Amino acid sequence: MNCQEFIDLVSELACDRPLDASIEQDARRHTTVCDSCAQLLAAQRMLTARILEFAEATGNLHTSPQVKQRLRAEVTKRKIAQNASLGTSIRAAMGSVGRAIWPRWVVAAAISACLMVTTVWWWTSTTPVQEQLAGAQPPAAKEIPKTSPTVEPVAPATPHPQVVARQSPQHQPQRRTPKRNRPTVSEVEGEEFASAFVPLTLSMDEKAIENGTIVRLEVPRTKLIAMGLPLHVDGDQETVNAEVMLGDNGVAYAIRVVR
Amino acid sequence: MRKQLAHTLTRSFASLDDEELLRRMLIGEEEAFDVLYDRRERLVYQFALRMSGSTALAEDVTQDVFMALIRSGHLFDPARGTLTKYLLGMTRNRVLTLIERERSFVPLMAEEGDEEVSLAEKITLQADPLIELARAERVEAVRQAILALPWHYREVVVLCNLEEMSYEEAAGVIGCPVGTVRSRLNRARTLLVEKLKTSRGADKGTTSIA
Repeated sequence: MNCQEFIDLVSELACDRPLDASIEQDARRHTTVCDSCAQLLAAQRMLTARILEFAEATGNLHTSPQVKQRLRAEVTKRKIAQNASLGTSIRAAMGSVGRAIWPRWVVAAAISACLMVTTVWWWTSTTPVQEQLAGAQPPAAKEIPKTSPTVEPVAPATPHPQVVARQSPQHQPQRRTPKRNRPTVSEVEGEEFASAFVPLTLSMDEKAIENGTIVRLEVPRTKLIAMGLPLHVDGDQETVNAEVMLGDNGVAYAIRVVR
Repeated sequence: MRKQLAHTLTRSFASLDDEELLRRMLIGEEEAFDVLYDRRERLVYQFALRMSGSTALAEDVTQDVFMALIRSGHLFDPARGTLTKYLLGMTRNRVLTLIERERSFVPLMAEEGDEEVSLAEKITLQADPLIELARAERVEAVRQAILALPWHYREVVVLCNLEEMSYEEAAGVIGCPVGTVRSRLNRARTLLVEKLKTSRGADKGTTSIA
């Protein structure tokens, strides 16, 4: 080992840092033959001792307790702020979710829809078309002159609420059928079946139909469909039998299909 | 009872590593902060003190570093190094910034009682005044010699010799290759020997540092 190599290693030697054993032996051997390098190592060792003394002397110095108090207060403050912001976030999230799910117009629309559905259901369940029309018939409906001798008038399934009191016991309401979108077929006499009456006008004039007449006609199926009657389009008959309820004033108030 | 509970809590936190303590501190657990601060405050403060030579500045820096840790501790990435390295890196940057800033100010007049208590006075013990005085002088001489070193030499001396870090750890804090740390330390120690010889010679008229 020459002097330059020794100078490069003198710090590690002076600080007792781990070195390769062979290198360390070479360095120590060099100090025995080179006085200047030996003095350099001695000076470096002294420096190490001084530095350690300095480190020991200053090793117990700390910050003042106020620093820790201030920092701890900051931790506490942030904890409170975090909790507050967490609460705010939860409230905001809940509020936004609530707004997102239940905006006012949706609530209003939903309530309106529910009311409409309920009203329609109640109306259709309590006053079906056939019952309205049947109920609107006068109690002496059977006495109405028949234009067709083969057809008997059909007793109303459920009378109109307004005319229930006037009906005789034989006109007590029958059990309504569940489906309202198709004409209810009821057995008349023998093998004939008649659907429920379907109104042709928006309002019913009870006086006009008090002595009304039922007229049986053969009507093209397409015409009835065009009038809005719920018939099957793919029927095999071109014409169907229908009964039209005519008022005293000659207005056709309702129609039903007879089969 | 309450003190016992706090003591038990602190003991349980003492077994946690720095990263876990930091995580708990960030969610507001004061006990985690206590343990972490007690564990790392000395390192930060003394590094700042040895680099700056000013207790006031070192205290400010320590407070700044831990305040930054409290406020932005989530930026610490364990994959990039230990918390010790992270803290020392922040301390180094802050000390450097403050020293650069103070360098641009020239004090108009030192007020009475305003000067800091010297380090030598702080460490002087009263057991044997003469021995302690001699020791305090030596320590003060080393302190002055270290503070007189250029910044990049000073930090390797503080890290490798005073904090007894390995070359690899010091390189991680400074952000330079290990070989650079090694060569800087060699050069710094050579400069220190010369400075101490000079100061000794000025005091006693000799050239020996012993």
